[in-house]
Amino acid sequence: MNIGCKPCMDSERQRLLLEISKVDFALKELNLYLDTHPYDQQGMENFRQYNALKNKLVKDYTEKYGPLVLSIVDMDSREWKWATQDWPWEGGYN
Amino acid sequence: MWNYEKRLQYPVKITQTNPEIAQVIISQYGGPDGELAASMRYLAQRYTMPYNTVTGVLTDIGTEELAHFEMICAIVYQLTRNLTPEEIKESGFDKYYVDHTLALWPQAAGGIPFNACEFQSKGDVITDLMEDMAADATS
Repeated sequence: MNIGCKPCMDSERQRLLLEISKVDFALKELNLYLDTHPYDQQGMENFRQYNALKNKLVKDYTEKYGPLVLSIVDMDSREWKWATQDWPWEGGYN
Repeated sequence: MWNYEKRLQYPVKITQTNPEIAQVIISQYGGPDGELAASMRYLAQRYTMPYNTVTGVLTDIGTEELAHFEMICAIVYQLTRNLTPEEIKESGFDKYYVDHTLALWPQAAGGIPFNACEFQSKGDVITDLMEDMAADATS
């Protein structure tokens, strides 16, 4: 059995997507922490920073490769890539 | 309401199929301690949770569990992609295949279908949180 994860690191596209995953993981943990620590100023500041970073990375990714969220899509394109590009479980880039 | 992000929480890229392992892993999708039960338990319990902050935790964890079963489904899907009739028979995957082909269907490894009896929702803070801890400590 050969289950390789090395291909994850092979391209700029995969690198960017993995970066988004990492930042989003931090955001998710901060989200859960803040739910029960809603007045933690440092926690909220960290959330603000990672959220801005994620939005920037998702925007970069969308411009280069296609949409990840419907709130940030390339409306200049003549193609609705949200539906024409592969879905994430196919094991391609995402 | 919910919005979808068109990516897995962590990438799944399986290069070799393995229907034997798929039959075990599918339990983490639709089995008694699977991600589907986890998500449904949190999202069911949150309505009667009397503290806004705890309702927030249930909502956000219940949401994250949806992304977890999406990864499990991706694993099972890729482990069983393009199987030949011989591979299906020899691996014992035929008992699943006869009803579902290579489609994803939430069941336990032993074939028991997913159902709501895998979790509890009682409207009592301590009872529900204890149930959450008992369930999530196993998966």
